[in-house]
Amino acid sequence: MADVPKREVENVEFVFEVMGSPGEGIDAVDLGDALRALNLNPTLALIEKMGGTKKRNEKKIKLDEFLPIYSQVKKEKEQGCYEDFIECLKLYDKEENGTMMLAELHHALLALGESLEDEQVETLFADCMDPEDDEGFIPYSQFIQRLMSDPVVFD
Amino acid sequence: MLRSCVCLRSDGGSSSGGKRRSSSVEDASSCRSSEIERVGASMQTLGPNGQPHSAAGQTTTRASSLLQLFQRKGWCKHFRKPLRGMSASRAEKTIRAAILIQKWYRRHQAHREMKKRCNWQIFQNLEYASEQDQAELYKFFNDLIKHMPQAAGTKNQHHSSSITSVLEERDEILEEVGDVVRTKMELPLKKSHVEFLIDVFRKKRGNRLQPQLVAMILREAAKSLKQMPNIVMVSTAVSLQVTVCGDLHGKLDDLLVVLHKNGLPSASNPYVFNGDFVDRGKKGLEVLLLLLSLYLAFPNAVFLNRGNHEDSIMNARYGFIREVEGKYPRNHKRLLRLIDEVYRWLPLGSVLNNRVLIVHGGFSDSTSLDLIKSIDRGKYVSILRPPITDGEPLDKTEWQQIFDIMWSDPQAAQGCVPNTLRGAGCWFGPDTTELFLKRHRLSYVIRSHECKPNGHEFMHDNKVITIFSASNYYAMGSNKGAYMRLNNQLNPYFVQYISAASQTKKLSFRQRMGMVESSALKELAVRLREHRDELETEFRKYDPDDTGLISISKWCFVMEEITKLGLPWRLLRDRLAPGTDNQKVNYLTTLDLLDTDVILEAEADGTTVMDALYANKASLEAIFNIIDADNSGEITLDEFETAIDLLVAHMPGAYSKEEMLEKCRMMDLNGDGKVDLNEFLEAFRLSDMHRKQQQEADMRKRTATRSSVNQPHSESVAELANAISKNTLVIEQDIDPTDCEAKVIDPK
Repeated sequence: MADVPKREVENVEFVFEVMGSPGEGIDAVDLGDALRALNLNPTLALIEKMGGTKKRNEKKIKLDEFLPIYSQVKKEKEQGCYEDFIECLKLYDKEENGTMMLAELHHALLALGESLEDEQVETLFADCMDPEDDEGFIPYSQFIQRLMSDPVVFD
Repeated sequence: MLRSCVCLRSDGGSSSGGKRRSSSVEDASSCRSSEIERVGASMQTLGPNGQPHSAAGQTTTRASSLLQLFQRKGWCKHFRKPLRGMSASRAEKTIRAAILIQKWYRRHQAHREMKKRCNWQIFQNLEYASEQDQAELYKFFNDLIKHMPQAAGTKNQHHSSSITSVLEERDEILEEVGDVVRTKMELPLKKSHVEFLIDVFRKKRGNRLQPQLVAMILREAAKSLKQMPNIVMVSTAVSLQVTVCGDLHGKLDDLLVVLHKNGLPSASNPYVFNGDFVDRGKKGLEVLLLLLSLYLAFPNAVFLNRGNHEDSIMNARYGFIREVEGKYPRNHKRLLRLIDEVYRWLPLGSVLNNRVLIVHGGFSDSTSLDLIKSIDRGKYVSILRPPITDGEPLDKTEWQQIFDIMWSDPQAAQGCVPNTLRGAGCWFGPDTTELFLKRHRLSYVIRSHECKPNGHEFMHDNKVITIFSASNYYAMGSNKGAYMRLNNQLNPYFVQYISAASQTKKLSFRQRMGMVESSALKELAVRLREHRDELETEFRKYDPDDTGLISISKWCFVMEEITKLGLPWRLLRDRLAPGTDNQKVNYLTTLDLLDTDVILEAEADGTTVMDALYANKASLEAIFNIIDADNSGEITLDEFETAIDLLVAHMPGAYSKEEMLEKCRMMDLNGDGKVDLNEFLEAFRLSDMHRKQQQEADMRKRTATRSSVNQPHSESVAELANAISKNTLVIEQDIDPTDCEAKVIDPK
């Protein structure tokens, strides 16, 4: 059994109860969301490496199979803290005044990395972003703060 | 702690165990994000030749291939500055930035989804737990009948045995105080009348029809419904399609959205409404009247099935009776009697093209449609009370059959077991469904009765479809509603919607979540109040040094032990014990929260099953009549005592057997050891009065203790109570059915 503390095992059990079916565990397509609900932050690449699938009903993951995955992902370094974010977004901050062009961020999220869909970006901005000013700039530190202060499920 | 949660008892359950299927994930929005990721991932993994390469490639290779992708897609103009002429490490950094944000966004989403599910679970568990009380009444009657040797059904003493006389009576309808809409509306009802009614009803409160008109619609509908069979045969031969709607629960805005998007009924556009028209929502009377008017105006195009809430005992508990009393203070008694007439004559189900059954709840392994077709359904004014049989022996099997189709739920596991979550009816598994369909030569079943996040759900290999048409049922933003459209081959598609969409859209997700969570917390807190003193006693047991603190595990244990609600207490800890730290729980804050004004007010609003029982003369009469087996008009104190024992066994609460017996003895004025009906009713009335006085005294005592020790609510408790109170306000406006957000869902 993986070395997961008892409190955390209970949290995993709750997630399994909500997302899975009794006896079968969770669908591997939900592996990412299960890990995220437990305060981990894997990339899509990592999820796939750990056994996540892209289609429903291909594979199930039982609780005892999940726990070592959880342990492993927990060890991953790049969780990303506030400073990491600021450093990265400074790339877009040409005037070096704490603002960036909303449109550039918008397109970066749509086009780069493990890109998001239009609708997801809309929701993200609606939740965490101040409206852009007349020239299309937004202050990004508040955006990051809001993004990181999401409703935590487990403490 | 979680092991005691109802959801985990998949192995058959303990004594108080209830089985609960896991919520279906198929329609959950979290898996949508996974689906979308798939599309996104496929976009980025194109190599230089357009061949897909592994997502876990080197960043430099990815950067260059992405650059090529951009050039091909023509996005360069947006990235002229950042990427062109950029060093590899800078490009790498840019992508890293994007990935970081995207990762966090997905985490944000997953957390939101989990929170949503947690709230959902609270609502559902609370709803079913309270329905259990109602079902207790049914079981109590069953037990009572079992104990009384020659128990007959209730006799129709105060309603004349001929039903038509209630409908023919031209009782004086009194004028109401305040504004009423007067209009000349004559039978037969036509489309123009319906349009007029829609226009009147959609205005916010204060706009009500003349009571004479309400009585007329109810009377005519009851008369017409009486002519319908128990199971109505519906055919799509002419219309080539049919629309099915599920629970509406007084949500007129949803009904108007459906009619707006799908059109008024007609020979080419028939509708089936599958029960639960009233209770919970504020416009139950309008929904009922509109549905009945549609039924009268478009005969053979509108089919109404009875639901478990088409029942005066449910209505006493869940708000419909209060709604009618509030809207027609001088005529509510008369109108409610007419509504009872409508209820008893509503058909029990429909069958489409001889192939698809539509009933409100479901079925059990003993359900027989032939038997149901042969019942005289008019006997069941309420299905929680014994049927009216005019002295003939009661057929419990028949009563059970009706109960099963109104109250049952499908489950994922095989088998057919008593539904302990609802308290009556059963949970039927895929094997039960298969046998049922085979036995009755049906293709599939459509039912309602359960709220679903997406308004609909497939189960049992698509042989059982749940359709639920009340959006925002638990709170604003809690769920979508849906209606089903079936073609001539009875292949379905769904239209999913939220009514008053602009109001929900105005709020950010955070705010919406806040509203759902606040409503859930408020309801939960009211429920917890019932056990307030028990909780205090138990908490103190584990705190011998009177520190006010206990361990988290103990807190969770006590909460579940006392309430048996099967909720994830650990997750709720920071809400129910606000201001507490990570190691211990200050249980005094929990108790304090229950004593805040906002919770006390909410409690005053609600009614318990005891209230419903005591206040409901017909139920008490039914009890009396059962006990009075020899039909003498009197019962002995001994017989009465047996009944009380049963009552206490089924409904323990603030109820004292000794008090009841004492009252009864007091009522026995001539001392001959017998009690007639009036004395019986009086005993209950006095007992009820006493119970209420006791409750008020308890409350005063508690408030006095707190203020005498000069302890205002702690800051965190006051803050939370304030948030709950602000968040559960309802915005009222005229209904605008075009203000909806709808989407078509094709299961293919």
